Amino acid sequence: MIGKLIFTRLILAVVTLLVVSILIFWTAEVLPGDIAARVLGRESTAQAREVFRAKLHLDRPIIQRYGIWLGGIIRGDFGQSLVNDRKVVDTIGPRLKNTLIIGLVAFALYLPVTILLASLAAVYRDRPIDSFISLLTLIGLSMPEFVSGTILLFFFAVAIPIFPVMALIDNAKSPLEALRILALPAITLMIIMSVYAIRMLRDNLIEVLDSEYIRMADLKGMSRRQVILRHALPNAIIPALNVTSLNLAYLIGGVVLVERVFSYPGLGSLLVDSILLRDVPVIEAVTLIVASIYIFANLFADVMTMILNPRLRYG
Amino acid sequence: MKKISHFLSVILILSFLLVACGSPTAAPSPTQQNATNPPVEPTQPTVEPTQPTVEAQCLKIGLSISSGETNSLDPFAIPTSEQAVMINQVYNRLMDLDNNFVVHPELAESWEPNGDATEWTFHLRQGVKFTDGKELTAADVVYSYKRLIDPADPSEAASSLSFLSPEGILAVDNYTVKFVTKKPVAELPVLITIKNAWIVEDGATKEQLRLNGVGTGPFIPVDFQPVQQPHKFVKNPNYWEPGLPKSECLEFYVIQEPTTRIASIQSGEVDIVEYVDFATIPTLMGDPNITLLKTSSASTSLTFAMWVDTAPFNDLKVRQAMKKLIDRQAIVDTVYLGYAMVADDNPIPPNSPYAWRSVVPGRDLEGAKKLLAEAGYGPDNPLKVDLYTADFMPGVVAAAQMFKEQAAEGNVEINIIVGPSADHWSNVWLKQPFVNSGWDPRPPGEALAICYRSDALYAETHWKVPAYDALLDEANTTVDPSQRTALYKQAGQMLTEQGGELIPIFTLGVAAMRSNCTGYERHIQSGRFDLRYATCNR
Repeated sequence: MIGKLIFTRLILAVVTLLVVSILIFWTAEVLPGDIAARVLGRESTAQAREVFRAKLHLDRPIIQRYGIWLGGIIRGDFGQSLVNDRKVVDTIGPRLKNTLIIGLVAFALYLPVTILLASLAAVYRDRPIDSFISLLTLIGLSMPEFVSGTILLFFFAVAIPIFPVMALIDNAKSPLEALRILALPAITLMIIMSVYAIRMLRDNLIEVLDSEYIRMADLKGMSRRQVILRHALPNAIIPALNVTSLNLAYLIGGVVLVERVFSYPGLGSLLVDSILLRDVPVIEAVTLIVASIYIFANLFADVMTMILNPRLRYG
Repeated sequence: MKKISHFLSVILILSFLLVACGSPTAAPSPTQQNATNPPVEPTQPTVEPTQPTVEAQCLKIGLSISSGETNSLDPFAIPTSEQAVMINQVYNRLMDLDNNFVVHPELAESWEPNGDATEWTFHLRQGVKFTDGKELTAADVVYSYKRLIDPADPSEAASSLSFLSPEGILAVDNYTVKFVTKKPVAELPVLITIKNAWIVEDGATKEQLRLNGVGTGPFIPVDFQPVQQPHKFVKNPNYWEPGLPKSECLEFYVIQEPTTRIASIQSGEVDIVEYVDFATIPTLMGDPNITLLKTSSASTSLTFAMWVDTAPFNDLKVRQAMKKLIDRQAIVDTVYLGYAMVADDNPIPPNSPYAWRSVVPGRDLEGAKKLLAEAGYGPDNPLKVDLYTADFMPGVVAAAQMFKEQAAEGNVEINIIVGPSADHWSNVWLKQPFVNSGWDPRPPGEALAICYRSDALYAETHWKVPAYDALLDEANTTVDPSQRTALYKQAGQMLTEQGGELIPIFTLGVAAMRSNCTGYERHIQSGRFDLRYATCNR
């Protein structure tokens, strides 16, 4: 039963991805500015631009070029970058790795911080600690990530220089150093992800804590800690899973600003650079990768929800 | 359920470990010393009372614009400052240009023209070696220039060097190069010292130069990759200028976010920041560890380009009224916080020896109203124009908005259309009759010609005046410097009084350096980045 459900979802995901790919290709085509002028520079000659356009077959119809592009992707070939003659895959590879690393660290921070703070707020509901956590998350919610990132930067890299300003992960000599380099951007990402999740998980927890079976557990003499860890959290966490999956996708694609503030060599900054240089194949490939992660993170969350909540399996 | 809670508690513990690891008490800014660097040579008897045990630390420079994957050490095309700055370290030019556009010997020790300036002979310095050991000869110079103007594959410098032809670049002997031109070129030494004119080895291809820049310059790239943090360069041990460069090695970091750039120099992670945003200047002004460096003369101009052949700007009175309406000093003070200088509607800065007047008259609202009335505009029939602008350089949009307010007082309604800066040069500039633009500083002959000659490729004002061209042509053939200067002054005056270019201000370039460092000066040309004398006392 669940196998069939997953299969249907998978098909749907692939169809969505196909639609997204059409959108991406079309959007990249209508980017403002002449590609040749961008790549070759403002003062390049018309002659050089002509040669460049011919080299890229920019004269062919868009449908034909889409077909060639999609065919390549299915074979794992994202084409050649326009601005250097390297394969797009070689350009993206190291950046994707960096983005995954920072995503992993941020996510590893996100889970415990969210669960801990949400549990504290729920258990000590309406007490000072709850108000304090609620205030913190409100501040976090209303502050864009580049602001919180910059504030962290000036506090912990300039005023008290315990972390580096530039998160140059490629130069880390040891895992420990890598963690030190990653700390500030990862914390920034963690903040922006967890503020919403904390509020949501807290409300869910409060709802669950008010239910009959928690009272039952209390009455049979379980400790408060055990009640929360064994009974309340697993039930409260299900609705929060979707938020988490969206956060996961955000981590991969939406870290552009954080990467920029910390000069982090990830996928986001590559995307910005490529847009500025009109490197269309790279733009398309990065966007497609981000879209796939987004779609599959959602799929994963759906499946997890189904597994955790038997009632949904037959829906 | 039990499994999940176990899983969660494991993650919890793990993450606390991670947090604990993430904040060590170790010293900040690790010295990432490259193992391949040569150790400090102890033979230098210079006065350097630094701690003798400290490993040579590289001079670290924060750059503002990324070249991304297009980054290259080939001087054939230099689209960004990232590239320009690094190319400056690897090669030499025949001559160097100072902030007043006076040429000084570099690889050429001396030069002289023939009587009518159609033949220029350059005598090369002898004994200069490329970093691969080959000696510099005239063949390298000839190749370097021919490559830039190759008709089959012209470089971005080809149009600036259009007075040269491949047949006219000759090696007389091993150490003598001759440039023969069809028409006299009185300013040839200045004009061939453009941003691309770095001397590469005879026969070097684009593919070779891209990653393996071999030059005669003060530094040598270490395993150069287009996208790399940092880009490393080490001292050229055989550099031909004795005692230079002063630093053992260089590290270039690209920090695109202005606030991060400021944070990195404040924390000491970099020693020099090549470009300081106007918005971040106040932050640095109060920092005792940092010296702000501004250019001694005008840097990039900000222009309002009006098409002189298109209504309403085809009326000279309208153009003159616009020039009288703008309050230049207010823009300098408000938008640029004093880091700019007033300009005089022509590309020569008023403090230059080539300027036709050194004092720019202030705003003249009544005069402007009078001119507009004569042109048929007034409070009942206001002049309405669309101004196309974009944030392609700091302060442009703010200056445009100030001008809008100032113009409104003279009953001129300026409708500002702000487009994306990426789009500005390809779809707006040269395509709309009233746009913002800007020009990097150039030698007077080139600055007056590049967008104002009748045959200019970038005729942003559609200024096509034979009498003006004649002045420039005459200046080009006038070998006597004072006579040539007089002609430049005439041309400048013509642009100020009649031209379609409203140039309210020149920006001043601003760089920042840690106070313990010396020997670096912000050059007016963003393409010139001299680090030979730069060094830090640690």
